[in-house]
Amino acid sequence: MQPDVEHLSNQELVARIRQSDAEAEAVLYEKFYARVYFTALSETHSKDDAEDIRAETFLRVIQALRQGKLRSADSLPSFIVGFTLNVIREHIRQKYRADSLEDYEYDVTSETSLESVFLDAETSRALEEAARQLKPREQQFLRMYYYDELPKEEIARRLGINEERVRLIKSRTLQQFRDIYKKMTKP
Amino acid sequence: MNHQEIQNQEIIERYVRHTLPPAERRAFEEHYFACDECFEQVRTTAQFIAAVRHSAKRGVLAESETAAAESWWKAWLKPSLIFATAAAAVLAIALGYLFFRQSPSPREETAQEKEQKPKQNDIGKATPTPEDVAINHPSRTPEPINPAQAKLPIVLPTVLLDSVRDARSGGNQLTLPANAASAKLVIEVEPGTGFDSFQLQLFDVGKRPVTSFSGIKANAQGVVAVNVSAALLPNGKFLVKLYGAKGGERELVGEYDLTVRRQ
Repeated sequence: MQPDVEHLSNQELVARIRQSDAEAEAVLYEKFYARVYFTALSETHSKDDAEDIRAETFLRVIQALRQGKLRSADSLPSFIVGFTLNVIREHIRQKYRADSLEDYEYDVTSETSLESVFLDAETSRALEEAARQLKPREQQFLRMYYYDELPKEEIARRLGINEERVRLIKSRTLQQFRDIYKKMTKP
Repeated sequence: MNHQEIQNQEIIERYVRHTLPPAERRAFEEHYFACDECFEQVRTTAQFIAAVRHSAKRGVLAESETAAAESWWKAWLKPSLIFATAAAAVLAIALGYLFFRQSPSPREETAQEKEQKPKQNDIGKATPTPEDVAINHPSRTPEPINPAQAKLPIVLPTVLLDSVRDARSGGNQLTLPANAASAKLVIEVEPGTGFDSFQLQLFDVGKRPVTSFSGIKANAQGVVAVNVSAALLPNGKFLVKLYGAKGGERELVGEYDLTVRRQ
């Protein structure tokens, strides 16, 4: 792939795809595939389903772009979001043969928990190590907020601090966690 | 949607935890499809929350034991809770007696299952598959036994679900001890409803299906019960829907809220 192709603006990308430029299509895929996959994974909690949705979404997006169905290239991200969400809905309906998203029968086993779709074994170990580096009170906060799902006022009471302080601890801990995680997973 | 709003309203975290209203959810998706920084943050936040839950489950995160104990005693001292707890205990003992008295032995249960298998999947499925059995009866799926766990006492917490309409303030609460492998959800239905069987669906707070049971039979007293694997019941709120099935059609019998607290 030529370097100049990688840095195309959305306008140029859309224009080239309309002329069936394979390189521009590859750039579009590179630019958005992770977002489409993440959105599908968040909705379905299934890696296999997310893969299928990603493939189907790009087929439809590229076909629509070739046919000139996008009016303004500035709307390209929204355009792809729209296709992604439609494909997710269709996929769920087709898979579970239900009439609405709220009423479908969705057999999710314990293997498809949030943890298993967003964490692999290596990342999980790295993140646990990062958690060990936090202070006991910060660890307690994380447990109460994200695992026990206690309201902030209850956490503030248990830790003997005010709610504003809870908010501060949360943002600081998350940032600290991100920094540690980045360092640990840096190649 | 701009970065200031995203930060002030904790949009990223609310998105990952599925607590954003649909319109805001869509608006944020449109934003992160165009913004590398926010996409990176939403991805790491999802990993972060998953990792925290995973670490908490594995006992890596410190627990505030004194605070938990203090809060437990304070809660017990409230008169209204004493009454509610006593009433719940009497009900649980009565139901427990009912179930133990009526429960067939494992041998009888196996024989009954063999007889009922062809009838069980009367909701849209012709014949039951091994997957159906595993999904509908998770507690009966053979699992490798950890020798350390084998010595722990078997705990089967039970909750009697009141429908959303009839629920007392506070709703249906289920406390899961750390060594519980599963929990029993019990619903009273009127005897003689005419349904061949019942279907129970469990949803999480984001209305995301967690698990589903088909072909459930009510006992002679009109009690429907299922065992749900504890692995499917993290802390938080759930919605239970019970349907009655007859002649290939189903009808909603009731909706029940459920709050799970893990010890």
